[in-house]
Formats: sequence, structure tokens, C-alpha cells
Amino acid sequence: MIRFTDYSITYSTADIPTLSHVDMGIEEGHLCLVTGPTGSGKSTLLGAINGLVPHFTGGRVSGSVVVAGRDIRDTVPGAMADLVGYVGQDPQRGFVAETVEYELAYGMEQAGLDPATMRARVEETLDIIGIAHLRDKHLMDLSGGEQQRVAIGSVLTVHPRILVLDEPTSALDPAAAEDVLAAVTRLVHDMGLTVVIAEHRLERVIQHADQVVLIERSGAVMSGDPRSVMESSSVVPPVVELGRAVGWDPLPLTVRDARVRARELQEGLEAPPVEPIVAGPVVASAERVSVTYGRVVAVRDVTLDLRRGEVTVVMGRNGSGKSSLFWALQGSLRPDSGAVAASGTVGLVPQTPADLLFLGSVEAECDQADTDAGQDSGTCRELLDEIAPGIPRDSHPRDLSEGQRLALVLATQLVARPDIVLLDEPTRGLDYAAKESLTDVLHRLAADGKAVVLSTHDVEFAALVADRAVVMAEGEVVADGPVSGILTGTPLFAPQVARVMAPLPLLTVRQVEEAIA
Amino acid sequence: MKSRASLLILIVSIIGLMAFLWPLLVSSESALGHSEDAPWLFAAMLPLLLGVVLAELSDGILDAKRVAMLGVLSALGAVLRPLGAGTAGVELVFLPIILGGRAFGPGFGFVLGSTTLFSSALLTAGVGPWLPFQMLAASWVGMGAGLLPRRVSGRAEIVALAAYGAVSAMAFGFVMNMYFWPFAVGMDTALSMQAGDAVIDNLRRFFGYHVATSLGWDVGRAVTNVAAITLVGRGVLAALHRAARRSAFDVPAPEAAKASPQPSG
Amino acid sequence: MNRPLRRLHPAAWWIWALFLAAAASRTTDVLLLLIIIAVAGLMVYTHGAPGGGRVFRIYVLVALFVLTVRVVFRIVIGGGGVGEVALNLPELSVPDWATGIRIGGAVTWNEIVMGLTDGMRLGTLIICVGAANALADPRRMLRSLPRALHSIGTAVVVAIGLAPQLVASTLRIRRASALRSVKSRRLRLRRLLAPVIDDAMDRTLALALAMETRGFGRPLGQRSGWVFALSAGGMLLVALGVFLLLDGSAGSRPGVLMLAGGLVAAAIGLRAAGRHRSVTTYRPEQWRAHEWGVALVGFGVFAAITLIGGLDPGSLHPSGVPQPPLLATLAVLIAASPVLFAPTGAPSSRAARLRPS
Repeated sequence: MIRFTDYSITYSTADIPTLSHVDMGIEEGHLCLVTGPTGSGKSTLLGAINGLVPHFTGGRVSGSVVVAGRDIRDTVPGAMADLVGYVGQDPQRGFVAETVEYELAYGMEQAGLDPATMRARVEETLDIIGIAHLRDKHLMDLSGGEQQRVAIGSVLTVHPRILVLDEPTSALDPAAAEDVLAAVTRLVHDMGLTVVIAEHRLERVIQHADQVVLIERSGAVMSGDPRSVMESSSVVPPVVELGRAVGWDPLPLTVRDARVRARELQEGLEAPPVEPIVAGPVVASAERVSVTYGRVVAVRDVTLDLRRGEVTVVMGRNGSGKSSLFWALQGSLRPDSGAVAASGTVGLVPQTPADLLFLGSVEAECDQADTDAGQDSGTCRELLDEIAPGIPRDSHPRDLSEGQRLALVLATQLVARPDIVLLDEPTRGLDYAAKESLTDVLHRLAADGKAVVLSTHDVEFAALVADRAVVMAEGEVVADGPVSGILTGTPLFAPQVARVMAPLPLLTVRQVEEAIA
Repeated sequence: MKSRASLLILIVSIIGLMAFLWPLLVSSESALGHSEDAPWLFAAMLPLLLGVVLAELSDGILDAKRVAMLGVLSALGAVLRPLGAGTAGVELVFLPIILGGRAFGPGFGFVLGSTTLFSSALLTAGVGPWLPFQMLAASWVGMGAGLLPRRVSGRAEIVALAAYGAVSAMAFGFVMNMYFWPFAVGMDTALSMQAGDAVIDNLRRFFGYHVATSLGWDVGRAVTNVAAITLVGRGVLAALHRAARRSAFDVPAPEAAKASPQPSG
Repeated sequence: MNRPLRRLHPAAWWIWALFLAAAASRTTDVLLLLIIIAVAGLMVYTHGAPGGGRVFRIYVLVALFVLTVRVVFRIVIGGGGVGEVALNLPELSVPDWATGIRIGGAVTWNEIVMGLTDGMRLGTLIICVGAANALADPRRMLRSLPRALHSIGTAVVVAIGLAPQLVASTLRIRRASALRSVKSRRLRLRRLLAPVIDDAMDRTLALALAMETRGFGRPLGQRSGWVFALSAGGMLLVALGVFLLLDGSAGSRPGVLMLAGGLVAAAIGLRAAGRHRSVTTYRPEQWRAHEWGVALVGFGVFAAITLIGGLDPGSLHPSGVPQPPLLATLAVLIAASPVLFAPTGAPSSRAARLRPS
């Protein structure tokens, strides 16, 4: 269905090719997962399928891409729309209309379909995706998962045969991600669509995939069935990592596969002793804090203590009040009731780190941060190199990857040597390697005596980095305690390793390795 | 193709000048000379004529990236407009129009002027009889910014744009106030137009009215433009150029790509 | 009468309201003007779009403002009134080189009345335009634009949807900017504006990408030359027509004819210019019998008033105490007839209350 033949592309702003000599095919009716480290060219590969690369992005191309008989070289994205439906990374930014119904119809209007056909297709798409109850709603009032599904629906109305999704679940909480992936797998199984998904968080998607395409940093591409690719891949979900560490053969791809094997492993393993959290004195506390926006109560009566040397993860659905709580702790947001007392300075990395960057180069941002904090020049630069080495000094902050931007903003906040460091959803768009290095950074900060608090949906990351977990729902704190207890307590928040090794409270591969030894 | 659009812009501008300056141009024998019907007649005509011009322009230059850029810049202008409404003459709405016209050319600037004022009207009180006039005048401002010499750059560019901002603010105020003149004073006061009189006499009366009413606003608008362009012009233009580069605004069409030799890996 | 549940085509309301305004411009009878205003208000009350009441009120305020400006200018700069003096303001003579006018001085009742009458007529026209806005949200007309203007319409739709989002992201960025303290004033401005502009530019790219992947910008058909000739020729005719009208030396007829002919040609050209695009409209607004009815009622009122004005000018331009001219009043009341037959787009509240739940 999709055939890449010796395909290479070099962007005009880059010296080396983003993809080089890609030679692979994707069969009709398959769900193909495209993965690889950040910046490796996943988006480029996806864009090449419907012509965005090179017609929208520019770049020098050699080789060919043929999609269902159409050569991309001669076809602009607009003309591919009836064959390939493409949904980009932030669907909210791609909405053209005001309500769901008209958004669904937009693609058909461009295709010149007659009104009767459009009406019928809108109805059927609403049902297929499961959003019929949202028909009249304004797009901006929808949740992230609903918006993602509307975006998928809007490209489906012209009945394409291929669906391309670029990181559809990166901003979604686990439940919303499940909804979206369920809709997508239904499309593959019931409607025979060919689906190509780019995803960092393999654990969410790999059990559904028929084919995995791995793009290494060098631009080389490996394609094959999931098991064989995972055997040699550098990016792997925790279940596969566990399998490789323990030596299971064939590699399990899903929790279910692994549980069968794990039973033998569990005999002879004893639960590790639960270590109490060793943390320093309280450095900040929120006392019955409430935050309201008009009639909406974002944070309801929350009492929380932050201690030095402790890494706390705050988890909960989107909209459960995590961000508002962070702003209240930072001090910018005055709570409507209750009080926040902090005996140290606070640094915050917000959800959109780019909001803090306003100068033309990384070097300028660092120098500015040094000046404003009254520190010696070069302090920020050093911090940045510790967190994310190798960023060119003169690159424009907007050209950096998500992880690099996060590192830059974190460095600017750390220059002032805050006692408390808050990070709001830092893991969006980060690959496994970046998450590991962020884990190291946060552990080092905690060892320095700072209190580190972060919010995330990524349970795997939480298992790696945190000592303590706080769960929020509807603005209230629902659970608060050592991370192993909280994460193994509910299936929704359990990392893969925990689900495999249940009932033993082991959260990460390293813990399993230590238990075996 | 570009010449088609230029021809239409020329014709609509001639009509527009007549529509704005009719009090100075009307003769005493004309049926329009002694009633206040003329502005309403023009208000009814201008949307169709503007539509023809915009249609021609959009055919030539509007692909998805430019439409998106139009939408975003119009939204910026529409958001900026109510800021400072009430404070004499602080009207920032021209900032995106002038800078957008400078960055993307006179045709884009012309369209941007119309879409910004139209979007702003839809977002606030609605479509009034003054709107077609405002749209045309704003389109002129956007087009003029695009017609400034290309080769000027750096600090000189900002100075030129700031000067243009001041001039266009005064000119906009002048024509819009000329539009409102017959409404405000009617046809038979000492400051009213007299059909058929020499242009200079009517102008004198108009200036009497102009000084008393909108001149303060216009000076304020001019000062705002100069200040805003000087402060943020450099940065905004850089951001616009970066966006154009990043999305390869001028990617050649597939036919052209086929013609050029394929470079090897 | 059985009214369908749909909304009337927005253009029908605009045509009705604009003809009503045109009719109002033919008279200076204050009572008649008041009746016209009442008709407009009634229509807004019964058939207004959601939020229309607020829009209508704004236009009423604008009309009052214009009326006040008119009267104030009359009083301050009056132009030789006759009759009984109402006010005696201190007089200021502006020197000849400025404009040579007289500010203040004696103000007659006559002048004040004339100011009120003129202003009233102007206000009525503005209120009719306000009624048009209140009856048919102009945003709906975006969907009915001629196909040739589809791209422009898309840009405007995008702008309307984006504006509140830009406000939200500006607020978010302003809150975030507190995280980096900056001493220099100039940099503080940049600290706020640069992320806003960059965010807007990112949105542009994301939007353009989404539009293209959904089919915007498919290769178009050929554009024919005769369409352009028609449009350009039409506009030239309009320009000539306007020139002749303003000049007036040959009477109005040639100018009006050229103007009308040119506008028709331009309209046809605009319509035809969209033919090579293949874009269609989801749920297009329909033009059916009800729309014809409303539009013709509006036209009929205008025609009737013009006719009455031609046959008996005095009835529409009373010089003394105004008396309601009978025929004209009847004509205007007929303008209110769409109250009875125009669809409202929503079930009446009484019916809603009676509906079994």
C-alpha cells in the first residue's frame, strides 16, 4: 500500500539527511507503529506519506514514495486528502470551524461533495468514532481526548484508506488515551483502514501493532514485525525491557504475555522491604488551599507538605487541579481560601515551557537568566549542559526539541537556586532516553536538598523518579503516600512491571533485577 | 496574473477615492449634491466591488499557509482593537496590518486590511454602514506598507515603517472623518459641504470640522503607530520571516520540482 | 400559519432591513420614522437571533449619539435659521483665515427642530442596519459567500475562532512571565510579546498543515479570461457611472444606468469566478418561498414610499406639525408582516413548555 524506495530527505536548514535510504513498505490493513528517539525523523516519515514532506516543509528529496499507486513527488497534500487522512500533533491548533459538526464537514466541503452525502457521512463518522453526543458542542469546550477524536473524525469523512497519526496520545491522560486508541483499533479491524501511528510511549500502542518501524538517530530505518524489531531496538517499553533483562524468549509484548512467564519468576522472589521515605524538613506547606475561577472550583481544600530531598509526583486526570495547585504553591496565584507558606524560593517549569523563552538564542536566554538572578555569567549555561548536553549556543529556542526546551527553561529556573522545584507535565514529547536523563537530574536536585514536585500522566516515569505520589481528582487530594503503595494500589496507575509482577510491589525493571540478585 | 489584480485594485481605488471624497467632488447639478444619500449608495456598492478585487487577489496568492497567516494576523488585529478603545487614539489594529503588508507584499497587505476590519466587526458590534469604508481604507494601509521599497532593511526599515505608520494614521483619519462629515453636520450648517464649490473652499470647511473632531484621535493613532512599530516592529517582522521560512512559503509546485534535476542522497 | 423550524436565510433579513432603511431615507416625517423604528424593533423582538437584542441596543445607542452630534453641531455652528430664538449662546468669531465661521450666537427653534429631524432620519437608518445585524448574525453570511471568496471567508472564520484563543494564551503567557524576573522595562515588553507572537506563528503553521491535509489547495481548474473581462469591465462601468453621477451635468439617468449595469456585470463576474473551484457547502442556507416573501415585502415598502413621495411629496416632508400620512403608514405597517410568516428557527416558548417531557 505504501512503498518507500531508497528514500532520503534533507531539509534546507540541516546538513545531514533526516532520513536516509529508507526502503520499506506498509501493507494494507495493518496498524504500523513508527518509533525512535526524539528528533529521529518520525514526523518526517509520516509527513512523507501524504506529501507534506516535501511540498509543505521543503527539503531535497531523492528516491520515491508511492502510496496506493500515487507518486508523492507529483501530488500535493491537498490532492492526497481523499486517500490519506493526517492528524498532526496538536489537533486543537488545526481546527477550522467552531462546532464539531462543521469541523467534520470541512474536509468534505473541500472535496466538493454534495450536501446530502455530507450529511450522511457526518452522521456515520460521529457513530464510528463514538462522539455522537458531542455534535453541537463548541470545539474549545471539549476535553483533550474528545478533541483528538474529533480531529480523527474530520479526516475520515472523505473515506481515506490510510490514516496517519502523529503522537495522538502524548497530551492525554491514560483513560482518554485508551478511548482514542480503541477508536483507532476499531477502524483497523472493522473498516480495514491502514493506520500509521508515531508514538513515544510504546507501552500504549505496541500490543495493537502489526508492524513496527524503528528510526534510529542516524536516519536509518528498521522495519518488521513487533517482536523482531523490539529484540534489537534501543527504545523499548518496560515489558520488553523486563523480558530482555530476565531473558525471556520469545519476548513478551504485552502485560498479558508477560504475566504467564512472570509466575515462574515470582516463586522464589520475596517482596522487597518497603523503605520509608527519608526526607528532610518541611520547606513548603499548603493549608486547606482552595482555588476557584469564577464558578469552577479547581482546587478544593488541599493540605500538602513538601519536604526537602523528596521527589513527589502528582497524578490525576486532566482538569483535576494539578496546574492550579502548582501555581498556588509557586505564589503567583493567590488562593481563594487557605494559605501557602514557603520557607524557601520556588522555581516552576510550566506546562508550556516555551512561554518563558523570549530571546533569540539559547545563549541570550542563559545570559539573561544569569543577570536576573544575580549569578555569575555562565551559571545557567553550566546547568543546561548538565541537564541536556550538546545544545548549540546560537540556536533559536523555538527550533529546539521539546526536551531541549524543557531543559533550557529548567536551567533558567535553577539559576536562582530555588529550594523548591515544580515541574508541570515535563514528560510530554520526551523519549525514553530523555526521560532517563531527566530522572537523573531530578534525583540530583533532591540529593542537593531541594523539594521536587512534578505532575505527569506517565506512570512509568513516575515509577522511576518519585519517592512519593499524590493523586488528585476534582480538585481534591485523593491519595498521598509512598509511590510503590499508590502505584500498585489501582490498575489505572500501575506501571507495566507492576502489573506483570503483581502482587509483588515491584515498579521498575531495576527493582526486579535487584530482587532477583 | 498579478497585473489583473493590480488593475482591479486601481479601479476600486479610484471608485473608493470618489466614495470618500465625494463632498469635494460633487457638482451642484448632481442629484447627490443636496441629499445625504451618497454615503449609503457607496456603502451598498463597495462590498460587491471589494469582493471582486479580493476574489481576484485570493486566486493568485492564497494557499493554505497564507490563508492561515491571514487568519492569525487578522485575529491579532481584532484582539488589539478594543485595547485602548476610549483612550484617545490608541489604536493598535494597524500594527499587524502594516507589518504583515511589509512582510508579505502589497497584495497580501490589501487583503489583510479587509479581513482584519471585517473580523473585528464580526467579533464586536456588527456590520455597519461604515464598515466597507473602513475595510477599503485599511486595505490601502496594508497595501501601502507592502509597496515600500524592498531593499531598505535594518534600522532604516523600522524608521521607514514608523514614518509610514504616522502618515497612514493621519490619512486614515482624514478619509474616515470625511466619510462621517455629512452625517455629523448635515448639508446646511456653516461647516457643511456645499456641492459645486471649489475644492479648496470645501476643504477649508472640512478642516474646521476635522480639527474639532477627529484630529486629536488621529494624532494619537499616529503616535501609537510610531511607538508600537519602533518598539516591536523588529521582533514581529523577524517572527513573520521565520514563520515564512519554516514552512517554505515559496515551495515550488510539483511541476517545477519535476523539471529540476533530482539531487542524489 | 404553519411556520417551519429553520432559520431564515440571513440575506433575506438584510434585504428587508436595507429596503426599510431606504424607505426611511425618503421621508422626514418624524412620526413615520418612529413607526419604522417600531417595526424594526418589533421584528428584532420576535425574530432576533440569540444575542441580537444586545446588538440592537448598541445600534440604538449609536443612533442616539449621531442624533446628539447633529443637534449639537446645529446649535454651536448653526447656519442661518429663521424664526423664534430659542437659545442665546455667547458668540465667538473665528478669523477668516481659519474658516470664517461663527460659533455660538442665536439659535432658533427652527434650527433645533431641523437638527432633530435630520438626526432622526439618520438614526432610523442606523437602527435599521442594527436590526439587520440583530436578525441575522453576519457570521452566518460567511457560509453563504460566493465561492470565489471561499479562501477569504476561511481566513475570517479562522480569525474569529482564534481571537479568544489568543487572548487565553496571552493571559497564560503573562502568568508564566512572572517566573522570570526582568529588570529592564524594554525587555519586559519583549518578555510578554515575543512568546505571544511566536505562539501565533506556530498556530499559523499548524493551521496551514491541518487545512492542507484536509484538502485545501487542491489543484484548480483553469480560470477563463472572459470572467475577468466581465468583472473588470463592470467595475469600469461603475467608476464611470459614479463619475457621471457626481458630475450631474447630463442628468442622473446615464450615471444611474451605467452604475446599475456595471454592478450587475461585476456581480455576474464574481459569481462566475468561483466556478473553477469545487468547494461545496455543508448545510447551505436555503432560499425558499419565505425568503422571497420577506425580501419582497421589504422591496414593496420601499417602492410604495418612493411612489408616494413622487406623487405627493408634501405628505412625506411635512413643514409644520407632522401628521401621519395614511398611505405611507399603511405601507410601513405592511413591512411588519414577516412577524406573522417568517420562520424563527426555534420553537416558541409556549410550545416548549407544553411539550410532554
